[in-house]
Amino acid sequence: MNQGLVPFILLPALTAVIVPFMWRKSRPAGESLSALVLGLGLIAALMGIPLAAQLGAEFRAGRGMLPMLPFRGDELSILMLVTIFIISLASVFFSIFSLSQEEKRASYYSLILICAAGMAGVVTTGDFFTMYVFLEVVAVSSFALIAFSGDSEGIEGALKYLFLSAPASLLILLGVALLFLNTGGTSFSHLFQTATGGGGSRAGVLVALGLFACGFMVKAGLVPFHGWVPDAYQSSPAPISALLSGIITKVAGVYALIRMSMFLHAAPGYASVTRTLMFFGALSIVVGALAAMVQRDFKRLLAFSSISQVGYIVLSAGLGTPMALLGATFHLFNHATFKATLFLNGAAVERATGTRDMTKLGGLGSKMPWTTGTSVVAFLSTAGIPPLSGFWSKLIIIVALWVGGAKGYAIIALLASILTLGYFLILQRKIFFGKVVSFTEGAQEVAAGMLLPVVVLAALMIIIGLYFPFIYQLLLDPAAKALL
Amino acid sequence: MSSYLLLLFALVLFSLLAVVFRNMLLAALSLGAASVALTLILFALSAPWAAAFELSVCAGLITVLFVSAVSMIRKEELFLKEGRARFALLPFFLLLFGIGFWFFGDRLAVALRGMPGLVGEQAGVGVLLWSVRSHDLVGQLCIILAGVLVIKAFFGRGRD
Amino acid sequence: MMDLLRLNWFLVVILAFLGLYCLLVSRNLLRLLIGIEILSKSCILALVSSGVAIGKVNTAQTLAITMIVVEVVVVAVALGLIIRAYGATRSIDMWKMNQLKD
Repeated sequence: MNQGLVPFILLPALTAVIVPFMWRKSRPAGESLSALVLGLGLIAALMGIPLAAQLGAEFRAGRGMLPMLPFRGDELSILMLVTIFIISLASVFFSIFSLSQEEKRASYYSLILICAAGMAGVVTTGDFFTMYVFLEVVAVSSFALIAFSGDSEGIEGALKYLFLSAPASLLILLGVALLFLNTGGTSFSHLFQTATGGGGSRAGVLVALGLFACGFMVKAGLVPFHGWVPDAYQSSPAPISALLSGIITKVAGVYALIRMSMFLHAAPGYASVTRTLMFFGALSIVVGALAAMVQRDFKRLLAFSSISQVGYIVLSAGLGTPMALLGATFHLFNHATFKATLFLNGAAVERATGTRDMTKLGGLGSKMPWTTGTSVVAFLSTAGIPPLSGFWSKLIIIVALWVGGAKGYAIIALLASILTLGYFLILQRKIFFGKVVSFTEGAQEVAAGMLLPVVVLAALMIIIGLYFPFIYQLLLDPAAKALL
Repeated sequence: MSSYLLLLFALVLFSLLAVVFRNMLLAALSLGAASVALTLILFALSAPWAAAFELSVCAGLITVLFVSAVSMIRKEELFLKEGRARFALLPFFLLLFGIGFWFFGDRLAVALRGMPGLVGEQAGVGVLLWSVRSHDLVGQLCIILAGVLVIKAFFGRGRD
Repeated sequence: MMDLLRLNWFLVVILAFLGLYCLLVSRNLLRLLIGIEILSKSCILALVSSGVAIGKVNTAQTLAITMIVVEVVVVAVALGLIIRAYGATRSIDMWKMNQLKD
């Protein structure tokens, strides 16, 4: 399956090199090429869905005596690839229409492309060390993307991210070294075989897993390792915030935690690791939700909301039952769509009104109908209102928690969800449906190009929500089988 | 054996100096010295390829990068007073931990040892890198590319 | 006398703590980077000593080589970012960087 690397990793990387050269001849060509390549990646990922089912079955049949395949394309990977390319494409599309001429430079698109290539590398490898390498690719490109605007705020956000993310990667690497010592290799199947079959020392593997957990939790932005998240999200250019929140934290941190949980579920001796994950997930849900309520800047609000939602994903992943893992993965995809929409719309609002301070906004509904409509859909979906997609994923998570024996956590998740719902409803009413205030007087709806990505994403939320039984059969059931 | 211990001690000492020196230039050079110590340690552990890379890259390239960065920054900025008072207790705990590990690390270390019955490998480093871990090579390519793009984004032409 | 593995890993732990201490305490951006570098050295030692202990030295070497390449790029990028920070704010003091609090 090595030819699978091409559309996901090599093609975007190659394009990243070509774009600066095309840029000199004509800017639109460079931009269109970036969007085109990402679109190709998306199509390839979508086409890979039926193929992945077959490959995944092969892999699972041989589990336990498998020589390690460095490249795996099981269903979880394909779902992640689809998410990566959708969000990257939305972000690039939005950038094409929203950034002013002076702000744009060829390296911007190249960096997004190489970041997408790096993320594709993270989710398609079956080896922890290779994952580390590609994680650093993503990290390095995101440093530059966060600081791209060149003002001191962006640089500060990037620095804070740097000084938390680089040590986290090194902790992961220490875990890899320890894993290497105890299992003789660095791949997933080595960990799986040792965890279930014994061999290395239990204490050693436990410490290695602990190091992994700490490192990946920093990357995912979980409490108490979330220090970089609000600053980085707030100070980066809007399409980059959408990329960060929508996919980068998920690929870098949450994906690996889900994978770890998948393996450890079958290994009874390591329950302490998954219980720790659940604890920090629940903590993030509560802290994120509470902190979000006292923010004035809407980007910071969205940052804390992201922390909270990622908490849901990790809490569910920590439980580890098939239903819980299904809920976690589904919520991962959904949340990528919600946050991307909200950040992009937020940028549109900022452009139209000139402020990010929510206390100053009001009555946007009449002035910016499309933005309002898509934002409302995204807010409702985040809060978990039927029949939108968010409702289903939260429902699965809460039910899985209840059924799986973690009743306390289920109640916490439910309460936090109600809290978020209440707060978002109040917020929406004020910003979009209230009285028109001075700031919003002159606001106009933004260009169609900027609206296209969010409309598509919002449509996805609605469609997935309405046709959920169908989606379940087509995509999620195979994914759940992969997770077993 | 005693020379090996000396190298380990040198590694820790130079790293410590790198943390402690007020003068950033000396700190960077101290880090370079620590890299040299690590190189010799790697040679002693029969890992010549890794040692060569460590020498040329860490002891060489990184030290050069550090020194050039230090030279771009004005003198006054470099001599900040570190706020170590808050964390003054930490080194003390480190010492305690070190001593504890020395005595009780027995159990932990035995636990940390891996499976005894592993097949030793026969392949050389080059073969290994190109065939078994080829995906790491793709990753290396990507990260070098990413680094180049980042530097271009930070310092390229067309910037103010 | 301790066997080699235990000795090496003892060093790994000491260096890792030293690096983390440096990161916690430092105010100067460059010194924070030195902390990251020390942590990186501990990882290299960890990888190679694990390889030596289980007989797979060459695999460990390839891992170490890749890791060194990755880390040098990270350091180069970090230095670039620090220089940009210095250019924008004329300071490399971490404590002065708190403009973003709401």
